[in-house]
Order: sequence, then structure tokens, then C-alpha cells
Amino acid sequence: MLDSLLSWIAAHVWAYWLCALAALFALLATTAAALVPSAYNTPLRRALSSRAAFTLAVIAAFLAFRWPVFFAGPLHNPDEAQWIAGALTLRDGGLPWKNLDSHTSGPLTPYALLLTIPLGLPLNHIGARVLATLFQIAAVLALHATARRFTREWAARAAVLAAFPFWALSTFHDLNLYSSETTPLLLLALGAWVATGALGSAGRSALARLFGGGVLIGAACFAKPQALPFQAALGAMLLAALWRNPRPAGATRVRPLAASAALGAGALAPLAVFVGYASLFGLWGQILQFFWETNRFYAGQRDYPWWSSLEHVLSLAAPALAAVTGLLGVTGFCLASSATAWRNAPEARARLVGSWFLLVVAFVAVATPGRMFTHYVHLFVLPLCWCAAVHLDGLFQGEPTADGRLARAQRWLALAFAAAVLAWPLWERLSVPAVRFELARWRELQISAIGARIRTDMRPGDRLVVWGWTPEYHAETGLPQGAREAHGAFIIGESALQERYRWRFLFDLRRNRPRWFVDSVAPHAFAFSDHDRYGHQTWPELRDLIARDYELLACLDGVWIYRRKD
Amino acid sequence: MPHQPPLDVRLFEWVDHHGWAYWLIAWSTFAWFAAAALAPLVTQPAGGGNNASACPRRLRLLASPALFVVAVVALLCAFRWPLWFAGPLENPDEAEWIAGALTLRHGGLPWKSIDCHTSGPLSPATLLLTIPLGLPLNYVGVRIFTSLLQAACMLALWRAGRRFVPEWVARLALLPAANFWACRWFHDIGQYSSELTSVLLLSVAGWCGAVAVTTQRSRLKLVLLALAGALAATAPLLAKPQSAPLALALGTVLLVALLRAPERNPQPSGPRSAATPGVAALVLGAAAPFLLLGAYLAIYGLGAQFRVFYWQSNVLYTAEHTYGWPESATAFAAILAPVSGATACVLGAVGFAVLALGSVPRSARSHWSRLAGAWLLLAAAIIAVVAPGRIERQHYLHLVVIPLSWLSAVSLAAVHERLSLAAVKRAGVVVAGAFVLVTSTGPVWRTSLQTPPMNGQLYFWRERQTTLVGEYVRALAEPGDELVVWGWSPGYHVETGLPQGSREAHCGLIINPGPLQSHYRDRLLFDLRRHRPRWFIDAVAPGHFGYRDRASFGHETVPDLRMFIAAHYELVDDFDGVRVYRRRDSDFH
Repeated sequence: MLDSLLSWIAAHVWAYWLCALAALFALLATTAAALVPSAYNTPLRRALSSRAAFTLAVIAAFLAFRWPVFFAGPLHNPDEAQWIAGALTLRDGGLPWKNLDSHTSGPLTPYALLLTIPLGLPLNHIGARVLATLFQIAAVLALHATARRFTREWAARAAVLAAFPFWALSTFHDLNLYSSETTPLLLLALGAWVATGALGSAGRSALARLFGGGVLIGAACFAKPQALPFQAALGAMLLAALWRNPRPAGATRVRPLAASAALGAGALAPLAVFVGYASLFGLWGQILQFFWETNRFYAGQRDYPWWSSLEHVLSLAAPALAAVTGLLGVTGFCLASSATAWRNAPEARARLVGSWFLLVVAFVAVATPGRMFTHYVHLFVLPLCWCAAVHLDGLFQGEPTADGRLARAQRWLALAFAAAVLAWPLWERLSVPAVRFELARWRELQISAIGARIRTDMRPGDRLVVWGWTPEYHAETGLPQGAREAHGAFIIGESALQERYRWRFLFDLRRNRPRWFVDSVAPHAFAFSDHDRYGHQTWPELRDLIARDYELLACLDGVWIYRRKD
Repeated sequence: MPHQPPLDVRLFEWVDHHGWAYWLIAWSTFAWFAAAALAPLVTQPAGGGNNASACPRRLRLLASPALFVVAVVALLCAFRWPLWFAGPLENPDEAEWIAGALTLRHGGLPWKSIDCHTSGPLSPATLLLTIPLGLPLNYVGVRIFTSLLQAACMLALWRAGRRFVPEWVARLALLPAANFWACRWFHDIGQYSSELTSVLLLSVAGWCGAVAVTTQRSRLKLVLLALAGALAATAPLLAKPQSAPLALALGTVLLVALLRAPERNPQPSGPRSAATPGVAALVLGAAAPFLLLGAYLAIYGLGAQFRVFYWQSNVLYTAEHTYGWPESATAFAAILAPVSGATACVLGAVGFAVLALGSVPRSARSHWSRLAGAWLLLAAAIIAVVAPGRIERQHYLHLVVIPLSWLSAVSLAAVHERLSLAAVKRAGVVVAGAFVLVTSTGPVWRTSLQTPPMNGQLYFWRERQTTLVGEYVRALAEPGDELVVWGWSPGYHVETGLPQGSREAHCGLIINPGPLQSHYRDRLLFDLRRHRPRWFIDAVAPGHFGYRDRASFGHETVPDLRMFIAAHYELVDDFDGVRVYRRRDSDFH
């Protein structure tokens, strides 16, 4: 059934566009409905302006544009497969730093993929991409829910459009697959939503919300340390809001000191859990050597100097369709409206400053690793949405007059914003093939000849070690990791840490005795393709171990598949 | 006694050996430029009053227009002089224009003796101005000339700007141009490029138009409008077709300004009819270059040459996009990126202008119309940059510089007026400070602060100007000799000082397959037979631009050319794969 449906759509591209553009129109309609004065109390307006309709429209619009990539199989960047491999290992009872190492990401990145199981999704590329899209939708909805506490409903809704070029229109692989930024962004968005619910309220529920918000924000760096600048900025902004927050009329306000303590305690809770975990399992040595040192080493090896960050950040966004125009469109609109917003709403000036501060923080987070990785662009999306919300809201003050003048002006403004944010990215999207991937062959795309070969012989409880940088074989076979590394970048690539990684790799092989070993250093493989230079036989200890304990089962397309002799 | 170089050369060498001295001079000049730009803020405060007499004499001197002109020229020279001596850089275009200029100096004619491909004949012809300026027609002379050309563009913009905005605004608005043209080291920005003549023509056209729109002298107005039209049309027609969007935008802005001007000064005959003579002068002026070109082509019988090798060649070039229009915003960012600091320069100035948009009162119609015109010009410039569909052509960015500065000028003026109306204390200082901060922090930071270009290498500057091949041919060349270079190395014309023996200074369109390849090949053989150039160099060799593999691209790959060279030329030497041929003497007798 699914096969024939996908084949039909691949053959009738107009059907894809019809659904996608209809969903976008629905999203625009629910946003516009919030602008219609309440005097026009028609059933259609009521239906469209309801939050449920808006939520459904957001989900439909993002999914309608994104779904073909769900079935595209492995894309250029093998990171997604690495997280799937980690999640498979965790599902089999593995523990972070004991059975898997996520290098420059934290353990929450593969852990989050376990949510595919209760959602009924497969733990492979398809499931990971659906989950990534759902996470992004959840993040923008959380942002909308946060924004509507401070801005008008229509501004909060329109702000969601700022995420559209990146997370719906872009066809670039890094923005479509499950990435290590996906989870921390969701955590931060949810944290902000939960914590801001406490502003202006009192009592234990407010303290509980602040604690909960703190936990979510504090957990983000355990998904990706690159989220640290965001955590610090969000924490500082929340603290500032707690101390500046005016007392709501007729209500008591939670005391700033208690509120700050609740927020701080929440933020420290994930750290406390982490310390407890590391102490309980005796993993401090691993964490210090392989998480702390690796991240320090990684951050110290920049591909470009700090002072050229502006060019490089734009250049790293350039390969992603619609990303540069989306970035410039939203920033340009906010910049152009900033002076008016500043004048119009003196009480909202702190929010305006805060929104630009968040954008700067996003820039710092993107530029800090000094690498040209396009998936870092994810980090801009939510700050751009927030910036759009507060600027749109700040442009108008007061309520509509009897002749509806203000409402009309708001409509024009919303139209201008939608044009600035969507027009060019949509033009770019329309200029590329609607269904980029061979939908009709979607099953074949999920598995290679190597994965299929292993699947025919594998048994329950088997583990797999891949030499090279091809964690896709885990996703294809569903086998967990037999070593803590899902890829061999730090083992094969020469660096100050290479010896430690090699020692640990051999240790894991001897301890876990994985049944499968694949040497994926072959032509066309990611990063390591020269077998004479990078093949496993170039490391004598590993060569001897493999020769002694494994037998060569097959060599397919230059990839050597070994099976343990016993 | 060993030969001592002249004092000025020794001075350059000393400064080059001491990096701190270079930077001290460069940044002191920058500070002088900034001070001269801001001085009118004190001597001519807002409100139109002239505070000059109350100011110290030193300040009045600093604010004087003459010293500002000197400051602009000095700024470009102080930063750029090491590049003057750098010899050939990566892009051989500059050498192509010098080769064309050498040919024109020897009595050559456009499309008869030279062909500039995607540029018009004015690109090399402008370089003939080095002669009255006493500069050599080689890399050194042309780079000095380029700096002067850029200074002239900036000064034309300043003269136009001060007609509409306060003096200090018109001066300070040159900062983005200074950041771009003085402080960037990328080769395409530092060397003579085909866009610069167009940019100068359009800048001067804008200046003429600005004076015409604001003057009360009707006859002068008509003359200047005709001149503005002629210059604006000449830029795309005869200097660089790529500047057509910019020329059209400038023409539109001038036309709108003319049609709107009578609204400010109503006359009994009605607003539109009062503008008619001005519009007619502008249009007639714009038509003049077309008429002159038509006459030239008719007199010399070059219509077919023009049609095939200029018109069709440019149409084909533009049609071969490497990216689509929807990707042009990303492509523009990609064009900017390799020029260190250019992104910060453009984004800083555009960011300030976007910010200014929100601060202009709705009632300030004059500001809005100027802003609309400035944004139109910038949009046209960006369209001109992305229209050819090529990424690795950073020299296209020259087209953006003046529109960016003009946008800065009108934005600065709008923000200043807004703050003045809001009775903000020292509004001028606040606006100027914000502008300098936003537009210059990034670019100045990105100007290499540690290592000046060519640091410590100036001592060898003479050696950089010529190769062994150039020296060899130069030693044997006789007056009247001509040279043909096979490959993409027009630098040998510069090194030898020899004019072109065929219309092509490089063989890109002759070697690369394309719809017009056979036309180009036929014309090369025709030129070789007609001109009988004494020298032929096959520069397809390792390390050379464009073509390195002799088996694939050497002149032998064209059978007719191989036979012609074998019949009429002798191989006199081979330098690292570069083969130098001389026409057999029997051919001359």
C-alpha cells in the first residue's frame, strides 16, 4: 500500500505540491485568523483562530513539505546513523560512556531516539527523521506558547513562519535528518515555556514550573555541549525577568529569591544526576578523558579563526537551500522594525534587547566549534522566531479603533513579514524538484548489500563493530555497538588523543567479543576511502586480533565483512 | 661603489621591512580621513548655520574640501601601495587590459585590433590615461592608476552627496567604500578590473545628475543632464555590459527626480511640462553613445564583428549560469565570502540602512524618496553582480561599492534628522558614532593587523614584474614587433611591452568548446596571416593560468594553427614548458 502510494506520488509530482502548498495555506490562514477582529465572530474565524487548528496546521505544514526525505535512506552526513547506533545500543541495555561514546555530543542525543519506540516508529533512518520533524514541530509550538504570554496571538503565530525556511523548505540533508542539535533545542524551548509560565504567578506551582524549566534547560548540554551559551543566556534572561517582573494586579508574586533558587536548583539537577551516575558506575576517568578532553581538543582545533566568523557562518549556511535567505529575511525584517518597536513599546524594550542578545548567542554557539558544519544552522532557528515575535508585536501599540484601522495595519504588517520570510525561500524551494528522492525505491534505499548480507546471518544478541566512518550498517542491521565508538574518526585520524581511543577500542573488542566486524574503508566511503592507508590492517594489534578471532565472510564493494570464528 | 636605489625606493623598502611603520602610516591616514570627514560636524552644525568662524583655524583647515580630497587619495595610497609592487596576481584580467591598452597605444582599434570579450573597449582604453599621468603602462602603473580611479569614484559620490545631505554625512558615507577599496587585500579588489571604468562613469554621471537636479541654472542643468545620460549609457555600452542594471537604475532615479522636482518648485506651465527639457536632454545624452558607436562600426565596417564577438558572445556568456536566479542570494554571499572582510563591510552598511528604514518618519517624503532610490541602486548593483551566474568573480563586487556608500549617505541623513527632530543631544555625534561602529568595526578588524601584504618582500619587487620568458623576448624584440600568446597568459604582453598580434589577448574562447569557437579560431588565423606578428608564445605549460596540459590544449591541437606555426615560425627557446617562437626572417623579406 505504502509502496504504491509513494510510487504514485513520485510519478505525479503535482500531488506533492498540492498537499504541501495547501498545508502552508492552512498555516497562513490560521495565522491570519488571529488578526481578524473579534467583532467578526463567524464560525470559520472561530475555528481557524483556535489553538487546536493552529497546532494542526503547523504539524501538517511541516510534515507536508518534509515527508519525502523520511524515505530517502542514508544521506551524506553519517551523524544520524551514529545516533541510531547509539540508541540501538542503549535499547540493548547499554550505558553512556560504558557502552557508547557520543564524542562531541552528550548521551541525551541517542537517548532521545528511544522515544521512537513508544511512538511506534522504527529505530532506523525513517523513524529518526519522523522524530526529528516532530521535535522541531514541538520546539516551534513551545516557542509559540511562550511568545503568546508576552505578545499578541497573531505575532506569536506569525513568528513560527520564521522556522519554515529551515525546517520545512530546505532540502539540504543536514537540516532534514536527526541531528545532535535537535534534542537540545527542544529541551531549551520546552524549558523556556515551562519556566515563563511561572512569571507573574505565585505559589508552589510557580516554583515547580521554575524548577521544571530549570531541569529542561540544564539538561540541554547533556545533549550537546554547544548549547551551553544558550543555557547561560536563557538562564540570565529568566532571572532578569524574575527580578524585574511587575506584580500582577490583585495577585501576589512569587518572591524573586525563592524563584531564582527554584530555577537554579532545577538547572543543577541534571548535573547532580550526571555526577551521581558517573560516580556510581566509576566512569569519571572515561568522562574526563573521552568527553571533557575530546571536547576541549575539538574546540581548540578550529578550521577558521574567530575573526572570520561572519563570513564562515554565512558560508556554512550557504549549501542549505533557503537557509541564507531565511536568515537574512528574518534578520532584515527585525532590524528594519527595531526602531519603531523600540519607540512604540517602552515596556517591551527589555524583550527586544533580549531577542537580539539571543541571536548573538546563537551566532557564538555556531561559531564556537570553528567548523563548517551546516547542521549548526539549527541553532539560529528558535532565536529568529523569538526575535520575529517580539518585533512584530512591538510594531503596534493599542487596540483597534472603531474603523478597524489598527487591525488593517497589522494585516499589512503580517503580510510584509510573511513576504520577507517566505517569498524568497519558497521561490528557491519551488525551483528544485519537488520529490528529490527516488520514492518508488524507498525500501531499497534503506539497506545496502553489506547490511543485507549481515542480516541474513545475524542472530539475536549479536553486536557489530564498524571500522571506518560508516555507522549506517548499525541502522541497516539493527545491531548495537560492540565498541564504544560508532565511527573511527578518533581512532583512525591522527591526533593527540588517538592512542587513548585505540587502547579503548581494543579493550572493548576483547571484552564485548562482538560477532561482526566490518572494515568499511572502501572507495566512496565517507571520510576514509583509501584501504591501503586506513584499512584495519594498518594497525598491527587490530590486524592480529581480527586475523586470530575473525573469518572473512565476504567482500562487497570493497567493504570487508568479518564474522567471529567462535 | 655599489648601485644605490633612489631614496624613494629605499624609503618604501624600509617601511616594508618594518611592519609597524606601515601600519602606523596606514592607520594614521585612516584617522586623518575620519577626522576630515567628521570635522564639518563641528564647523557646519545641524540647522544650516555656519559655525566656521567660531571654530579654531586648525579645525577649519581639517574640514576644508581640498584637504578632504587629499585625505581620500592618501588613504587609498597608504593602505594599497604594497600591492602596487606585487607583480602579476592570480587573476590575469588585469594583464589582458594592459595588453589591450598597449595595442591601442600602437594605433589599434576596438574590434579591429583588439577584442575585450565580456567587456567593452573602454576597459583597456581608460588605461591610456596612465600616459599623461606619467605612469608606466605595466602592473605598477596600472595599480597606482586603479587606486586613483577608486579615489575619483569616491570623490564623485561625495560631490553628489553633499547636494542632498549635510557635508559631514556626505563625507562619512565614503567609509564603506574606503573599507572595501582600501582595506581589502584580495587580488581582485587590488588590481585593475573591467568594472572600474563603468563604476567611474556611473559615479560621475550620478554627480552630474545630482548637480543638474539641484541647480537653478537652466542651461547648466541641460548640459549636465545630457552629460549624465551620455556617461550612464557609455558605461554598459562601451565599458562593461554587466553594469546595465545599474545604469538603468541611475537613469530611472534621475528621471523620477526630474519629474518630481517641479513639484517642489511649481511653475505656471505645470510640473510635467517644466521637466520636459531636462528629460529630453537626459534621453538625448543617453542616445549619443549609441549613435557614436553606430557611426564607428559603420565607418570601419565592423558591424559583423560587433554582432558576433560582442553581442552574441555576451549573450552566450550570460546564458551559461552556474546557478539559478532563486539561488542568487546565496550565491551573492558566496561571492563575498573569499574577500576577507567584505561580508562584514556589506552587511554592516546594509544593516545600518535597514535599521534606518524603521526610524524615518512617515511624513519625511524627501527622505523616503531618496531611500527608495538608494535601495533601487543597490538592488540593481546586486543584480548586476549575480546576473552573469558566476561565483568565483569577486571583482564583480566593485559594482556594489558606490551604491552601498550612497545608501549609507541617505540613511545617515535620515537617522540624523529623526534624532534632531526628537531633540536628542549631539544627534550628529550619536549617529556618526553608531555608523562608524556598525560599518567599520568588522571590516577594520578583518584588515590583517599583523602582517601587511608583501611584508619584507618589496626588495624583490623588480624581479616580480617579469619572468624569464618576458626578459628573453624583451631583449630580442624590436620596435614594431607584435606578440600572440596561445593559452591564458596575457602577462607576457605586459612583461615585454609588445602589443597584440591578434584580437585576442587570451585564448579562452578559442580553446574552450562553444558555439562560437569556430568563429574565434577563424579570426585568430585571419589575424595571424594579416598582422604577421613576429612573436608567438605557446604558454600552455605547468603552473600557468587556465591551460597547463600541452597534449590537450597546446597550439598543436588546432591543425590549421599547427601547420601555420610550423610553416612560418621557428622555436627559439623553451622555458619550463613555455615555448617561444619567432617568425622566420624570410617572412619579413
